[in-house]
Amino acid sequence: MARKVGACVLSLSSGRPPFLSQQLLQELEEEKRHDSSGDGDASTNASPAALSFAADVGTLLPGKEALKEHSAAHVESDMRSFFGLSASLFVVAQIRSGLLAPPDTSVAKGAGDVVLLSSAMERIAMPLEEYLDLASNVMHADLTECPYEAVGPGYSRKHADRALKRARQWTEKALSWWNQEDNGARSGQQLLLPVVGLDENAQQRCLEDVRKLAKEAGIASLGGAESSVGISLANLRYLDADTQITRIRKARAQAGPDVMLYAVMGTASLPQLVAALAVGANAVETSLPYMLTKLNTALSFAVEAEGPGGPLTVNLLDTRLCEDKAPISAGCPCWACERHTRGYMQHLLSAKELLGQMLLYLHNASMLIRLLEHVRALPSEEDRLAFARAWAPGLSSSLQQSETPPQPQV
Amino acid sequence: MAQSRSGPDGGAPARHGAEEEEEEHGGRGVSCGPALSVRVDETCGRARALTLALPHGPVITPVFQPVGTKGTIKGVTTQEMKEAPISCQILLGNTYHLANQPGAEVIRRMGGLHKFMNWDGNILTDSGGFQMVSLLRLAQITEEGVNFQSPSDGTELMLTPEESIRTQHRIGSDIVMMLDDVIHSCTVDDARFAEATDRTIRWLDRCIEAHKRGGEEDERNGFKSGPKHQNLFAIVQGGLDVSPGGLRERCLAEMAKRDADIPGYAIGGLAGGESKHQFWRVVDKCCRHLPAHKPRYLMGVGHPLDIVVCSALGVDMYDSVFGTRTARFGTAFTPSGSIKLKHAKFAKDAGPIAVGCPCSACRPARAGATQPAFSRASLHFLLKQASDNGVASIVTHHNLVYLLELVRSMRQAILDDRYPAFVNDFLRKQFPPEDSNAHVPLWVCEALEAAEIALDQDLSREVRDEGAQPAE
Ligand SMILES: [Zn+2]
Ligand SMILES: [Zn+2]
Repeated sequence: MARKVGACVLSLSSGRPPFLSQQLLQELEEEKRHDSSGDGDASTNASPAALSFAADVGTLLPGKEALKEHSAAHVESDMRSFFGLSASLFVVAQIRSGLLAPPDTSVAKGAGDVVLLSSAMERIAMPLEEYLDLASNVMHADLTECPYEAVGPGYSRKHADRALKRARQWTEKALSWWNQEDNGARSGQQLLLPVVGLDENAQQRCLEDVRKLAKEAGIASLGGAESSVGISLANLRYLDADTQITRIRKARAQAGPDVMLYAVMGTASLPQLVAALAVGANAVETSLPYMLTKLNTALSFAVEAEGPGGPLTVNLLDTRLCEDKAPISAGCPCWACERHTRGYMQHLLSAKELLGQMLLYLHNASMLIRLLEHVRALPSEEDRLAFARAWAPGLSSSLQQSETPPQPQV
Repeated sequence: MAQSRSGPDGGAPARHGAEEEEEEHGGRGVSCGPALSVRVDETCGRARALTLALPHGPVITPVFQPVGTKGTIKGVTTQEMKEAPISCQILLGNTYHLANQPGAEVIRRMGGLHKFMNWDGNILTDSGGFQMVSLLRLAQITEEGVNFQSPSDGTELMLTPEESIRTQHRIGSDIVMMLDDVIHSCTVDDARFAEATDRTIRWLDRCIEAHKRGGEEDERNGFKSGPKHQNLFAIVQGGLDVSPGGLRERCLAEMAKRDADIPGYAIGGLAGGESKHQFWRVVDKCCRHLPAHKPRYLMGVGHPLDIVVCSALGVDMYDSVFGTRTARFGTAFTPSGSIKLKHAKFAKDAGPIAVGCPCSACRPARAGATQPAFSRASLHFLLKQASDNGVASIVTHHNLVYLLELVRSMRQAILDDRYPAFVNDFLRKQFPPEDSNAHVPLWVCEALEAAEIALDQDLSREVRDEGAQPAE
């Protein structure tokens, strides 16, 4: 049975959560388990969401042979055990780094080839099938993202058209591979089909394509708990915040209530993440805890329905904190806040000590996960939008109550 | 049956009835000062197993003290340090670094270093003199103290023995080290060595005075410092001169006169690049002359081989950044020597770093599993990637477990009166007789001979065959 994907999917750093020692990773897993079982009544789904991470196949390529051997030797466990992620969900295998390549080189000349960027910034081309095999059969990812090409406002119409065309080709090919015996569809994994598109119309066309292709591949409905496919909202990162939220909202309305909607949010801000879940994303992928930790910044707020009522972050390098005996964020139940003061954190971070980043990442991840799970678990769309308006006042135009409730297409 | 002969062969001063106490194992031990009592649990030849009752709990010896330079063991939480399998009872802080950042006064106001870093075990701090001399090019030693330029604003500052003690009082460590006159062990100027030895004695007197007068008890935040709560350790200097009546003996004899004010001793001036041949002789000399019932701390030494050999000579305490620093670059300790995990030969090695190691990397991934939590292949991969993926913590954890398990197994061997057999086992794994490229170094053979530990034939043979003759 598929495990439930967390509302907040954290980007991995070459296979492991950034900074965390094995002990602190286990503390985060423990806390997540505890939290999820704690607010079972608020959640409509009984099974708790697992701590969820997004892996990048490109950065794992140097270890491909070792990964294959590990995977073959330990069929009873899975790829997560190679990186010590025992209780976590290894969510998305993807080629996120491939998107860093300039548009004209992100796709190799050979038909169907995808190009991945390794962490050493080498370009590695491989057939689509090999990528899918790595993600699904070797890494045992719970969600596997079908590759797509980057498009954004700065791109030419020609390029955007090619991206749409390519997404269609790859989706068709990926679906056919997915349905073969011994591949993902059989084992409870989900394939995420990319919805690309420069503008709303293109997004809509792409979604219709996806639905049609899935149907042709024998998948009656995109939605439902048993569905082996979901939708990945790709390229959101290139859009401004309001447009991002509007796009997610439109996609939810168009795709229907049961379809897995995965939003790749990259470095989006905390209000954007709250808003994305409020308008219907099932999960948002984010590197925010990593970015904040790199900036020596801690999330610090109380989860209140009427909004945060103050700044959301505190810069721990601030020398005024050096004798502050309070925890990083008052009331935060995370492992770091239960044991350490802002004063100690100020010292560790200004001394560039590894432990400072470890504790800060743990805290930031813990705060963010709790907030986003809370948003997702709110019982109605009305509640979610109200909550998001309080937390993301800058996004209020895209967070208005719709005049007519969105009609899911059946 | 273990011999209870822990006394050195000659010249041990001030025994304070240690021998009577030793007879009743499990007793409370002998008081070495208001903040330390020592129980000799067992001896085996010259090797000792002690229990030190310190203000923040007992410390069993031989002990390796991990170094937490700036108030943290790099990449390891205090909880991990405290709990099995590391089970650390004492760690080190560097006064020089802590006084620079965040500052001793900040630490005092935060309730002392224990509270500041949330560590309820023991802490030893050094005097700050060593870092000053080794890190600051412009440091100059005068009779008054160490003259140096502030690393932050370049102003002239003076670290005196009194100031060093005052700083360590503010930090609140359980063991405070005296400020000694540090010189590089490879210095060739004999007169400078003599001056340093004599000055160290004079500075010891000033440290003892400053320690007696200093300290405080802040009821409000529970912070306590001073002679009732902290132990001032002396540092034996004297360069590499182990001749009868030489500098080491002179230093030891002067310190013996002050023994009533000294709860423990460190052997200083080593681990600075001297030859191993000279190194072990200094350790040997000091151990023979230091009082039997007080702890002996060999500063800056922490290679597994050094620890095993020096404990045979009677050392109780060690510290070194080597194991933790080298871990961050991917070097891991194993019973058969250290391995560089970044080496290509580990890229597909599914085994653990060390079979049977209880650390969080080597132990099975979960109950019943056969594969380790992290294989060598996995660590190899992670080490070759970006440095922020937590792998430094994982290998550091392993090396700390290795070092602390090593000293605990040494202790068990001493308690069981089989330390010689332990040493032979250890050497056999590090230098397998069947490996023609590995042989027990000569200095090890000589030091063990001085410790009256016989090497197995096949271990000692190759060295002897090479015609190498022990000196003296
Ligand atoms: Zn926290
Ligand atoms: Zn280990």
